[in-house]
Amino acid sequence: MNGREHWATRIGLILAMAGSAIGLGNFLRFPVQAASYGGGAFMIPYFVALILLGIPLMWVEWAMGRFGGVRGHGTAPGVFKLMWPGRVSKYFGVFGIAFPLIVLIYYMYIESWTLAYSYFSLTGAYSGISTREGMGVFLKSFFGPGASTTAYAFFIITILLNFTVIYRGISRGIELLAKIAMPVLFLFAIILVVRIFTLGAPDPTRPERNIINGLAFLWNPHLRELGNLGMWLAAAGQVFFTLSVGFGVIVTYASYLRKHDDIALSGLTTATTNEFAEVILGGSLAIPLAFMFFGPLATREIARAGAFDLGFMSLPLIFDRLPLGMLLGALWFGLLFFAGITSSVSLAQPAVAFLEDELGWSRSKASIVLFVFTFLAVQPVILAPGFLDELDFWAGTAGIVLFGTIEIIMFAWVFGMRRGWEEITSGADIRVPRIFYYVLKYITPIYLIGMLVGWIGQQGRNVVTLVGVPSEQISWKWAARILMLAIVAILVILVRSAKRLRSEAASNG
Amino acid sequence: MAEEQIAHMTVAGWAFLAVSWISITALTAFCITRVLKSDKKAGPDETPLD
Repeated sequence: MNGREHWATRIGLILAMAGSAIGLGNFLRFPVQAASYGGGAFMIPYFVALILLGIPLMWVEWAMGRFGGVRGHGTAPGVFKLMWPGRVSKYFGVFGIAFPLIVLIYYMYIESWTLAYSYFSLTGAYSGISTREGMGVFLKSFFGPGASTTAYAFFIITILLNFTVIYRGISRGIELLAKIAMPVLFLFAIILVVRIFTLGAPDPTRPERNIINGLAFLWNPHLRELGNLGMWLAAAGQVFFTLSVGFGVIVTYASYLRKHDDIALSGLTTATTNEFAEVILGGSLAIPLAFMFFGPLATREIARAGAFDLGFMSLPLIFDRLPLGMLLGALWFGLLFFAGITSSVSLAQPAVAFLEDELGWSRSKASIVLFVFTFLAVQPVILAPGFLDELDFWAGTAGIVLFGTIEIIMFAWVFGMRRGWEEITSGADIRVPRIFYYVLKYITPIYLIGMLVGWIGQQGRNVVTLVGVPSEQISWKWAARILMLAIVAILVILVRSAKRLRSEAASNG
Repeated sequence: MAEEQIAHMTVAGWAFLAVSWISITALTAFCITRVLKSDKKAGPDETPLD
């Protein structure tokens, strides 16, 4: 017995895992991607990636987490060391702490906007603004040296809420949050979907701008896009991002399972719950609503401008025009906040678990150090243009595909697929189709390597050399890269010293 | 100003929407039912995992 915490209930575990997966991306990133790439045709590479990458990797991370957790290791370095008892394996696991930590730095800041906008909506702080450009200026008060004190205050509140949840631990903190936040999130989303579906045509002079045509805007397939490699990469990237695979957070959450707990059914339930939130609820909210108010041309422009434009500049204008718009706006941003906080606590947990498991720190000490670090590291995100995008690209986009590739090779080829399959099916409440044995061994690794090669070929050189980046952002982008390298370097040093501190744990298994 | 062309929902659009929604809803319902059923077998809904 290693004395680690455990989830109190299975429902709590599934809600916490689903909470980790369901984030801002479900309601903002997915509809923007689908609208930008082929509409309904986007769903073909999306489902292919879900079946061949997302669900298999989810099972892998659950299996790795439970395997490591019962042996006293809740993060990738320790788990990799158990799976491949060589000298270097644990260093590959550093990414499973570094990437979630880097994403946490900016994610919590964006999350604070949702809390702030929820408050602004209720108090009518932006109700006088009638254009997207005006909302853009309003959003800018969250950035740069002139960032408003209100924006900063909401960030402090958000970081304190996250800290409190992490400080309270797994069952009394993360699980309790999930049991409250997830039902509320679904309730808010369903209320908003029902309201949007019963709006009719908001402008009587334009009856064709209605919900059916709004859904058509998102779902009518442009099949010629299927030949576009960019769409396949975007769909696979979206599946990674939405399921939270490749971050290492599922490994950590699953490490709080017990030896004989099911992972096959719980993992699949998490994935399908996330898809329900993303495809059905997320796909019925922002883009169809934008279409009904702004029409197809402007909605296409909004989708091209990205998730922030859609969520923080366009939708507030729409809610402002509706009866009870203040309340609907608060529900929209409240929904995003609950989606955000259940994800951000999961991003914080690997670092805390590492400090607890491998360095023997108390949870309170680990939580305090982590959040002081995060508070300091977020300052350039607030002040410097381009800093956020750089962290997002390397850790939140390219990094998770890289780490997912490392995980699948470690699991299927180094640990061995026969042992891996036993881990996935042990204690399973459903029969996992045997075909996934071969998917995990051959198709998932090849798919991931293909994705990496495709990305490097398509964007690699331009991204690395910062082609097309405004000159005032270049030094900040390099600063972001140095910060990321520093985080990885510090973690490598800690992993190295952790070997001495916990050398007995690896052989305990 | 460009004239806006509104595309109506096509049969293919309905097909993509219906297949996606129905398959996700069915799979989610199946999983949740199985979770609840296996929890019931093990004891009350909120029974600790061990």
